[in-house]
Amino acid sequence: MRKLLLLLSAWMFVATAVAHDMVMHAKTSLATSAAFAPDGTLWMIGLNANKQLAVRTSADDGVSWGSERLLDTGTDVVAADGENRPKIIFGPHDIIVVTYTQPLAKPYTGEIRMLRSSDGGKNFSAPFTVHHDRQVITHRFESVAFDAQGDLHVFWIDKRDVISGYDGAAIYQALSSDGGATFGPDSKIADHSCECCRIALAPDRSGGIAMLWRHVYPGSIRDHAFARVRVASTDTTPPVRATFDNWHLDACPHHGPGLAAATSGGFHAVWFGVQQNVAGVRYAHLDANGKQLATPLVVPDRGAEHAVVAASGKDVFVVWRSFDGAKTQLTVWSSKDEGRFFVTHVLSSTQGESDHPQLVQKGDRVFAFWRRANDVFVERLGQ
Amino acid sequence: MNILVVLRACLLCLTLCASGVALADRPLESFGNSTWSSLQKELPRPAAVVFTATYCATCPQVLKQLATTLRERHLDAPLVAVVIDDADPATLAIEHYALAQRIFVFDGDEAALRYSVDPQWHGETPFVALLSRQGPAKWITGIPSKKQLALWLRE
Repeated sequence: MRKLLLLLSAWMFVATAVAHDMVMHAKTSLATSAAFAPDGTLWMIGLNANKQLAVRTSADDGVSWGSERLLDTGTDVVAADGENRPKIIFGPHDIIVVTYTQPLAKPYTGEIRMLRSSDGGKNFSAPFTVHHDRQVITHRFESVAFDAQGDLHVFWIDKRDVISGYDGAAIYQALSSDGGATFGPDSKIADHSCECCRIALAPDRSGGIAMLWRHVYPGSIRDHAFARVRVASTDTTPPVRATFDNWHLDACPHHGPGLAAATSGGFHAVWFGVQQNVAGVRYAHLDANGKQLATPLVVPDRGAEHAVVAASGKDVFVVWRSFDGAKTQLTVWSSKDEGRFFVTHVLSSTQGESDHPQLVQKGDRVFAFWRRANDVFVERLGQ
Repeated sequence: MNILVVLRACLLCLTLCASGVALADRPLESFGNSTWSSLQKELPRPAAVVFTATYCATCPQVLKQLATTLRERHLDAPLVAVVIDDADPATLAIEHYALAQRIFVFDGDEAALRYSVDPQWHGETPFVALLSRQGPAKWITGIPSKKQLALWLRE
């Protein structure tokens, strides 16, 4: 019997290997994140051509980049596809946190993994799993942020509560009050989130974290929910519906929202949706409780996708990419009056592959960051 | 070794082997800028093409639904899967991909390839093209209804 098992296993291995040999050349994943360190150095993190997790730094706001530095992830495979990408954030006391999703053996499963540095990035810990739940299920699409007190919040999409008839997944959180050295229990924020979209975070005026995520409302309506997590806490305001496209979809949009704190209060939100058969990226100014303050505006580009938003003073920047049939453009929509009026400006374009755009902030300066097949575009906005 | 455990292991192995062989006996085909145009001309009708992603949790259901529909109606219609992300071949050696008779993988700029299929497609999956005996593809984002399936096979 054992021989039979061995024989079958060998057969399976050979069959799979043959299939592997037939695939085309593997592409380099461009899914990258970026952030400024407290000393003003710009860091980016993503996979290299060998699918290894690597960081590069720039001391001149992205004009030039240092050589690649590999991070030791042990035997982990690092997910970097769609809106699932490695991330890096900077906290107090020289703490740097790197997170990613490690896919597990079963499809659509994963664990949220973390590397931690407490010396400004000179050394990083071995990877460890953030959540306490160890089932081979979905723990994916993590988002991570430090609150005003320096506590570390990790949010992710989780399927531990899924039973027959349950729509979507759930949003869970883990809190660390020691910069990621230890974490409290897994805490549920909401049932029925969408399964494959990023969770947007922004600092809340109270010192906590505001969240916006794609939700599955009754009837498989894919709008967005908003909640705030209190500082140094897993206490969360009850989720409220923040968008009203009424997009009915029994599928995965792979298109999460963006969120930024507004100087005068509330938040700037961007999201993709289909409203009355019109697809588009929309913008709205939300109040502190996630309620829209005005009718959403549609960005003037039918091809706009994966938009992000950032704000500094009264300036608001919405950046997206779109493909026009010949090239992919990076476009910014700029407002100088907190989102009442916008002007459009094409920042750059490429005829090759490109990642989703990002916005990174260095004090009150906002930069567009866009990884492309052969380079990285970085430009300060609002000058 | 418990005989029940051994039997279960054998069953699992056979299932996985079947998937592996199902992938191994056909090449993973490259999906380029002109592939969709060619497929529409080449595929015998009716046919179904499912644009999917390895990270799409709702996609297996559609492939299973279409394969079941064709089997129940004793139709030898092509069921094609097109994987739009940077697929690791290991992630394709799973059960639901084995239901497709041909498997393509996006080879090039994903945004440009999506545009070549449908300029209004923003990457939602599953994105399903039902090619009836005549006429253009009927597009469905998500899971086709019974009515849509009946119409596809009747037209």
